Amino acid sequence: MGTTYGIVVFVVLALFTAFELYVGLGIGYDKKVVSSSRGFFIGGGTGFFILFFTTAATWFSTWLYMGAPGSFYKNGIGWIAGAAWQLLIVFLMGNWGPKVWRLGRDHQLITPSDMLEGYYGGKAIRPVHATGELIFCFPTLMAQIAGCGVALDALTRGVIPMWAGCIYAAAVVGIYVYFGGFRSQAWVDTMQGILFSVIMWVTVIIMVKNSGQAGLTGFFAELERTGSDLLRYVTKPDGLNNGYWTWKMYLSFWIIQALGGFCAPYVFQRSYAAKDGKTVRRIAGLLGAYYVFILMAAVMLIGFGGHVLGIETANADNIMVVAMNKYAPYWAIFVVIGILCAGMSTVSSILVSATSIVSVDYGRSIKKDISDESIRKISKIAILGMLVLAVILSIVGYSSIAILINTALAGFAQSFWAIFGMFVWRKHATKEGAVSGLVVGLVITLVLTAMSKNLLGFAPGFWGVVCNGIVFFVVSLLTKPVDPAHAEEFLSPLVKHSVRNRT
Amino acid sequence: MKKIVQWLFAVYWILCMLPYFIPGLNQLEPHIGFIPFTVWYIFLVMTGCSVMIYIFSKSDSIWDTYDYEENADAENK
Repeated sequence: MGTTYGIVVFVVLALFTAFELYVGLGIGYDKKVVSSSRGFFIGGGTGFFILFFTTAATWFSTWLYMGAPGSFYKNGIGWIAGAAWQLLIVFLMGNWGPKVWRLGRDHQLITPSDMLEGYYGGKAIRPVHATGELIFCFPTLMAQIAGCGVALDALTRGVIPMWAGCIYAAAVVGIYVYFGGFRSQAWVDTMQGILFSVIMWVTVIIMVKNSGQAGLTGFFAELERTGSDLLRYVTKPDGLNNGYWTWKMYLSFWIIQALGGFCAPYVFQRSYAAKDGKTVRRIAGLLGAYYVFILMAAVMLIGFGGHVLGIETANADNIMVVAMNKYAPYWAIFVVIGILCAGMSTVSSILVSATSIVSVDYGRSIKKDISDESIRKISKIAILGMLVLAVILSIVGYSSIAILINTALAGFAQSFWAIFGMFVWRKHATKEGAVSGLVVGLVITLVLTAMSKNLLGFAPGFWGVVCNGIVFFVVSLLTKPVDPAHAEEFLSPLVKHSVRNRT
Repeated sequence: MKKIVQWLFAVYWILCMLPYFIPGLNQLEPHIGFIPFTVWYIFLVMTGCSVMIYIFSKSDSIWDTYDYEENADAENK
C-alpha cells in the first residue's frame, strides 16, 4: 500500500467513523426514549423514512457486497432467488406486519417471544423460541463482523489485519448501541443504507465502463461469450456455474430465506417499532421494488462483471474489492466503506435484538415481574458480552459469508409455523404444537447444518421448516387448542382497531 | 379478496420456478435489447409482483393497517 493511498484510506475511515458516531450519539440519541427498556429496544415510534432505511440496511448485510455478488460470480443467475424471495418477505410484512405492530403497541411487546408467549401461554414457548433465535443470531453476527474484518484487510493489504478490522467494527457499533439503543442504530442505519446503495451503483458504472465494451450492450454480449452458463439456471456440475442452483436449492433458499427473513427477530421487531400500522404497510409496499431494482440488480451486474472483466480471485466474496483495487483503487476505499455500512448496520440491529432476547426473554423466564431497571442493567452487560464473544468467534471461525447467513436464516425460519398458527390457523394451533414443532425444526436444522448435509438435494433449513410444520400440525390436532377466550382477548386489538371492518 | 391475493402470490412463485422445468424458459433467446431472456424474464416477473405488492399496500381491504383509532384521533386534531 503506497503512502498517499494509505493516508487517504485512514482519513476516509476516520471521517466515516466520526460521522457514524455523530449520527448515533448526536442526532439519533434521545435520552427520554432510551430511559425505558421498550424505548431502548424498540424506539419511540419510528416514522416512514427512518424505518424504511433501517429495515433495508438491517436486512442487507455484508452479504450484499460479498456473499451475493460472489455467488453470482461463482454460481450464476440462480442466485436471482435472492431477489425473488425478497418479495415474499415484504408480502408477509404487509400482511402480518400491521398486526404485529398493533399487538406490540397494545400489549407493550418487545421481543417476538413476547408475542408468542402472550398468545399461546405456558412456560415453555418463550425460552425455547428465544434460545433458538439467540443461537442463530450468532452466525449472522459473526458473518458481519468477519466481513468487515476481511474487507479492511483486503483494502489495506494486511496493514489492518482481519482481527483488527473485526475489533474496529464491533467497537464502533458497540458505542452507539450501548448508549442509544434502537433509536441511535436506526438513524445510523439510515445513513449507512443510503450510502451503501449509492456506492453500489457507482461501482456498477465503473465496472461497465472498464469492461472495454459499448455500455451494457457490450457487457452482456461479452458475458454471453465468456460465460453463457452463468445466464442459465441449470448446467452440469462441471459447467462454469458448478451446477449449484438446482431447483431444489432454489426452492430451499426461497423457503429458508423468505420465511427466515420475515421471522428474523431484528426484522420482526421493525414492525413493533413503527409509528403506526400504515407506516408498516407503506414500507412493505415499496421495499420489494427497492430491493429488486436498486440493490439486487446492481449485485447481479457486479457479480457478472467479475467475469466480463476477467477477475480471478480465490475467494469469490472479495470480487468487488478485488475488481476495484485493479480498476479504480481509490474507489475501492469507498467500496469497503459500503461493506462496513452494510455489515455494521446489521451488527447493530442484531445486537439490539439479541440483547433484548437475553435481557427480556431470559429475564422474564426467570422472574416474571422483572423490573424495567433490571432489564436495562442486564442489557448493558449483554451488549458488551455478546460483542466480545462474536468478535472472538468471527476471528477463529470465519466461514463463507453466504453459508453463515443462510444458516442463521434457516434457524429464524423455524418461527414461521408458530406465527402462522396465531394469525391463520387459530382454531387448531396449540402451544404444544408450536413448541414441539420449534424444537424439531431447530434440532433438524442444527444437526443437518453441522453435518453439511443437503438431504435429497434440499438445504438443511428446508428440512427443518418441513418437519417443523408436520409436527406443528399433527401435535396441534392431537392437543387442546389455545383457550378461545384467552385468544380472543389477546387478539382483541386487531378487531377493535381494524380499518377493514369499518369500510 | 384476500384469497385472490394469496393465489396471485402463488402464481408469482410458480413463474419464478418455471425456468427449471421448461427448457424454453431457460435459454438466452430472445433478447430484449441487449438483455438475455433468462434475465429479462425473471425481472419482468419480479416487476409484476412488485407492482402487485404496491397495489396491495394501498388497499385497506387487502392489507388492514389496524390503526383505526389513530386515524380518527389524527383527524379530530
